[in-house]
Amino acid sequence: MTREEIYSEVVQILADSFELDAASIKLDSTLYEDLDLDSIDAVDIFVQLRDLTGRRPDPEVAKQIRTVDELVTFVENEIAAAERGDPEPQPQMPPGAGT
Amino acid sequence: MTQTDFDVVICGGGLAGLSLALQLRQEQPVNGVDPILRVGVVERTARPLPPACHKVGESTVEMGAYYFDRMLGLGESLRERHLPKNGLRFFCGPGTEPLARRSEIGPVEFPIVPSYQIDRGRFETELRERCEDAGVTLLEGWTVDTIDLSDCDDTPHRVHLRHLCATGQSSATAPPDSSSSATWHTRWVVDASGRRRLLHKQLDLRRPSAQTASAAWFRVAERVRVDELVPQDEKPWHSRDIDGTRWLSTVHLMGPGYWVWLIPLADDFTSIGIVADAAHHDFREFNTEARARRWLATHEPALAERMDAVATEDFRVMHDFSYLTERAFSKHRWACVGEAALFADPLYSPGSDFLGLSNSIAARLILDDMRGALDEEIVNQLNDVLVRSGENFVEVVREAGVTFPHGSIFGAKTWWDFFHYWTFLAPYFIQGIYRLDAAEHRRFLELGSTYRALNSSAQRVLTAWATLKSSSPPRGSETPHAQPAGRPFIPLPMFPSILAERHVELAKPATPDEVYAKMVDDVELSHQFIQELVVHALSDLPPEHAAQFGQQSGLAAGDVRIDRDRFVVESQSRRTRLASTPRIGRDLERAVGRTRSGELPLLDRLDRALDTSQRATPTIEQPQSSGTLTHL
Repeated sequence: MTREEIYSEVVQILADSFELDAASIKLDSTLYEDLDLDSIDAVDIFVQLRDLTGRRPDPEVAKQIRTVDELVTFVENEIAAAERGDPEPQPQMPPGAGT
Repeated sequence: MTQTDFDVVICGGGLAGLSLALQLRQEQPVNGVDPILRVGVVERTARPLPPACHKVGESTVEMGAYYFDRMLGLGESLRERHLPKNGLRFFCGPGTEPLARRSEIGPVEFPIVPSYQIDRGRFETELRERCEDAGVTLLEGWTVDTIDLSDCDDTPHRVHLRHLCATGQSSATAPPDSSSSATWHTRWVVDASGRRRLLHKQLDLRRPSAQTASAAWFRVAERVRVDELVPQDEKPWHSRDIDGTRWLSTVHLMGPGYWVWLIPLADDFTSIGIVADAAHHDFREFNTEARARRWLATHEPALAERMDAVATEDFRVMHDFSYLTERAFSKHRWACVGEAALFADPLYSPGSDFLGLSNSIAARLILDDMRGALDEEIVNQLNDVLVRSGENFVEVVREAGVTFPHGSIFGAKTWWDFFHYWTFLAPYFIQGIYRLDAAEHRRFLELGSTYRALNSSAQRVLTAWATLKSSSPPRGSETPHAQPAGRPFIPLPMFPSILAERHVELAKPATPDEVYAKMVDDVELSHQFIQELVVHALSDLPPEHAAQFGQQSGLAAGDVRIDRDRFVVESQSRRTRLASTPRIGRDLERAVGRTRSGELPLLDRLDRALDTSQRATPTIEQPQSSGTLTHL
């Protein structure tokens, strides 16, 4: 996935989820001020981004993200990490749940 | 009382009977009953039982899992020898759509409150051994012919037994006189004979259920995984399943008036079943293996194709499976537990919940009696809890078939159904409310009746919404192969949300007063929730359906509590709207998405729906049979 494609997916998710005009979403838009999102919206974004990244986000990294540009970079890094097979935060899972 | 052989004889040594026997032996010291309770279990089949034996009812949810894991102390065994369950997962929309295009409803992460996919053969073998170790007399290869009930406190019941086969019986379980028949005298008799329902038939306790559905199921000797039904190039669909554990869910493929389950079993077996409402699907279309495979080819072609290469180990059917009961517990020292009491429907896997609830009530009453403290009032109150819970569950499933194809409507329904379950019956059971004295318990009975009324109201709203949706032409952008309306993935539950909080709270001990206070608060939330269902329904349906929705949903009759301000803010900016939307409304919107009401403001739609003088638009066909649904 190219950075352009990621950007357009991210814009699509933001526009669909939060009733925003896609044209008003720019790379330098801030999530909490310009787009008027709140912390619950942020949680929901990261659930939806799993469809793109196939990874469980690190909440500490996710918390630092402030702009659309940073969100795109985050997805880009996550996809690269998935391809490298980097370790990711462990889920809470009962023992014996392996495949 | 005349001399007895046993204090309790349990007729049937399946999951319900064995776990009750074990529970009685385990709870006895706590209740201070002395001397040791003599428990006998009569079971037709003799060991060895095959693993993965073909008994339906593998899937547990919170109450049943709590019962086996925490109450009976079988958690270690469940974790080591059975499969952990990744919640319930639903795929909505016509089965002829590619699976990746159908709305998915299910947990994002493995649920923190555990549940399991139980291998019944393995589990029941272990339970038999544990019962024997605990001093229960287990008579295998025998059956109960008749029960002579005594209605006098001084006379024991007489249970007449007959020997079935000579094989597989160890000397330890040989009958008292080694002949082909025997009679056991007992103070209590418990019917745990499953669908054989000895006491039901003898006492004519059966009450018809308003649910008229039938089921057919296969057991196959390989893993049939839901992710095999979706091509690998459907990246987002596969990426969503980060740990590759989707297949550990009880998977439901939902279509008009039916659902198909996929349940993984230990040793790589899979249970696959069809449940279909008689109003939508004729039982004769799937009542043999060949017909069931043809039925799948029509309704769930991707699964049917996957199953083409799979040989069936067993195939079973159950026609018109739902029944309720007049009474399950009597002061005359008898009880019916598990499916010998009632069976409403397999949707949401409630079988082990009703099993745990009926067993725990029976154990409480038996131990009360052994202490000489059986109170007729509490017998009747607890009987009411079980009987009404069965009726309430029929309300949940009775008209559900019309919601199955619609992702956002069924998504809203699962949110309500789980909320309702996690706010009343699950905490009632898990927090041990059924152990209270009659005087303290009565207030929960009254609250239960309030909750049932709320559930009926919510189900009417959902049914009206889905019925009218099914009769509406799709909106402009919806083509047969478009992404379904609403969200492609609906997290159940979503974090953070009130629903997720209620789920986590199930695992936290609370006093009866705390449980009661929380339940009272949640009545208020339930009212808000139902209003939110109305908001979604009225936004989603074409405005010309509003009046009819008002009639069918009970809105026009004043059955739903409405706050008009909530409908006014719906047309304002997102931030303003969210600021004045109840938190549960935002949760629901985050889950199932928001449908904008478009050309006619929501408040006007509400007025149309509330206007009792306005008759339902005559041009709209009344959808009530499979006729309108097959067009989907």
